[in-house]
Amino acid sequence: MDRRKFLYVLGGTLTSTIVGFISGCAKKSTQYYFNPYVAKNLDSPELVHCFTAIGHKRGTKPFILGGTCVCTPTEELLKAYHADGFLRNYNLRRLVAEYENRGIVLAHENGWQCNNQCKQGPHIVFGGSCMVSPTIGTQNFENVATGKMPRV
Amino acid sequence: MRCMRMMVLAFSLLVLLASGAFANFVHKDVPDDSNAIAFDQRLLLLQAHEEYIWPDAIYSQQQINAQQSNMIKDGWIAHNLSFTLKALPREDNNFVLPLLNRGLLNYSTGNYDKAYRYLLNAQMSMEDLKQKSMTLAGERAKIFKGEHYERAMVSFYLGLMLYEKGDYENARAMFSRTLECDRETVPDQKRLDKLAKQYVRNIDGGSEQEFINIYTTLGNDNRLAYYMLARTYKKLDQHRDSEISMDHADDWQDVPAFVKEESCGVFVDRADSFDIRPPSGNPYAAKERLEKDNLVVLIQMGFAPAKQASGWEGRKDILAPREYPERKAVLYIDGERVGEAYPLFNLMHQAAPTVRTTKDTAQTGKAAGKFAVGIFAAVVDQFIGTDLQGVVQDKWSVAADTRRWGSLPNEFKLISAQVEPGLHTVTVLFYDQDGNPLPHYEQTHYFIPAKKDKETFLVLRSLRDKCNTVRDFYGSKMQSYNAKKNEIVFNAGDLAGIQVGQDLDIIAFDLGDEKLNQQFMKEGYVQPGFTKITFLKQRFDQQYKQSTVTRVGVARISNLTKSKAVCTLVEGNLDPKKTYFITNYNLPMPVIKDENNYDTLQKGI
Repeated sequence: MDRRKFLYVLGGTLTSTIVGFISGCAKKSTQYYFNPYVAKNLDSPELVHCFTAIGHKRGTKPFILGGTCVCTPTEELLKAYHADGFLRNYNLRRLVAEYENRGIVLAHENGWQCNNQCKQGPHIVFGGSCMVSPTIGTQNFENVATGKMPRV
Repeated sequence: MRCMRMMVLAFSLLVLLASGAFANFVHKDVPDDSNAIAFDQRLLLLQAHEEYIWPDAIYSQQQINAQQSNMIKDGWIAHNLSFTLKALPREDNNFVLPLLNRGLLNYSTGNYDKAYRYLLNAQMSMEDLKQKSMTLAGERAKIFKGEHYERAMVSFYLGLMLYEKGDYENARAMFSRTLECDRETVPDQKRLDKLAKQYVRNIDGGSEQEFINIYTTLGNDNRLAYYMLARTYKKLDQHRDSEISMDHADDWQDVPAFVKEESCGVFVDRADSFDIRPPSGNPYAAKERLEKDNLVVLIQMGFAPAKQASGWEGRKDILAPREYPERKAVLYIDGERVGEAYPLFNLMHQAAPTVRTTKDTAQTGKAAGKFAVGIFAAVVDQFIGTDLQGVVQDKWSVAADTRRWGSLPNEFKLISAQVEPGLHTVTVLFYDQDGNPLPHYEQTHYFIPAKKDKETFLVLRSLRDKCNTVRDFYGSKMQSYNAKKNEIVFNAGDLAGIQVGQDLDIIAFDLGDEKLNQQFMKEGYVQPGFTKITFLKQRFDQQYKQSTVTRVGVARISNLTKSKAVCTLVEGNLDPKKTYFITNYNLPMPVIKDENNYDTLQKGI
């Protein structure tokens, strides 16, 4: 190969490399990833629903009767309702029957927590039929307490 | 006119400030699809769709099919299986893996009913199923039964759930079973003697008895199980047993270097950085703490070590620690610092002393067999012109079994405290190994009850963005803006599921520093066809900590092709010289400014 021909080939190769490089750069992705962070406030939000794991909030009546209490019925709870002027004509059996008539599950036979993910779920405050006390430290626990329904 | 504009701008700014746009969200403003509300629900969706849980990568079927080397192919399949949630029939050799992953997923989301059933099923299968015979193929052809440390963890989680349920007798049995699994760390006598001789050769002044003592401790050092056993015995009023268990909850023995080198191979240095000797004297393993503390927090951190095929024909599996940034955790209750969580348990430390004898010998035999058959096939090929050697090489994999319980954490940190009865806000701040804060890992939990006569047991897992009140999202860099036509163009392929007529937010992104902004423009994009965004997340952890996302306008899509989306600007004014992004994430507020609780809480130290 003579010198001129060699320079032509070399020049051509270099030019095509540069053009290829530039066109490659031009096709750089335009999709960007954003990951901002905003922490949860350190002040707890308002407690809307009380349930067994949290403890009964005085002055509230059962959710099924228009209140915000979703505590599992017990004699002690009924006394608290009576003391607050609610369900005066109810005994424990009648209150439990109110839940049963509505098909609401208060506890599972095996005693395990389902965190309202069982087939009767979600929690009654979100329109389901499960009233098993949510598991401490989970998001469902907090969502039920604040009444915030997650959207996925 | 100009003055009027200025006044409107100043008024808008005041309204923004007053509405708290630059401060933390108040709870009512937290969108219902934020991670802080919906993280667990998204996890459950993974299970419903039979996807994978917390993988570092997943290999597509196309990638696996295109892979020529059977050894690599086997490794990729094993990797995918380690994170799978897809239910498998009992006849499948891998059917235990989805049970384990589903068990842990349901435990994390608080469904103990399902978690217990999945893990109990897995435990029975791992301990009772018998392998029919040895296989000439790769180890993956066998039923997955897990390593001793994985079997130990199954029993541990079962024990933990029983303990939380109040079934202390059965919890005790499960924690004791955890310890039995740990004892499988100690190899048989013949192998132990051989290793002891190796130890004497390696260590000046070391004796065989010393090595045997080391292994006796290593086979009885599941501090997590001992701690829980101590609590359980106390509940059962067996105080002497509780004290004995408590003493063991402080045991620690370094793994001899040559054993670690054997089990971790080229990853030995990384293994050292993930298996750090804890400070001596576990402050929570004390009788008084056990009796008085009414809030116990266990924090699961990181991910269990992976396994990789190594050596000739990939016949041996070695432990490869999986990277994770969060290494320290500090607990705050109602904004008051309680203390740093104590490193109670490390799975890497449990896995490292694993000595394989029979398995390694069998694997070496298989590799040698494959080599011999390969030579024979080459000779045959010479005579009859076939490619038997290629077939042997490609189709016969003797690769080691690298399947594992992928969703397991690597560390358990413990902290307990005596707390006033009532409802409390619990915050955990996470730090990397050098003490740098990791805001994306911060967790705050509201309404945690503390009672006078009953302990509250809180088990958390450090997961990125679990308590982030805003979501991560994708944006497309605006390609052009024609002010005269009021027309915006961007790459339609960047945003999924967009439609003609849809309104999209136009955003400006600022990192508070021009150099960083430029760096983001150069490096913040997503590689086409490359779905792993871990490294982009790391940049938000390390460099992009002061980001501000501002909604500057709204664009309505008027024309859509595969490659191009043409929009009309329907709200806002754009500066043609500035860079903007289009997104289909509906910003929950006009300005999202990075906010964490580190400064607020640390000032209180």
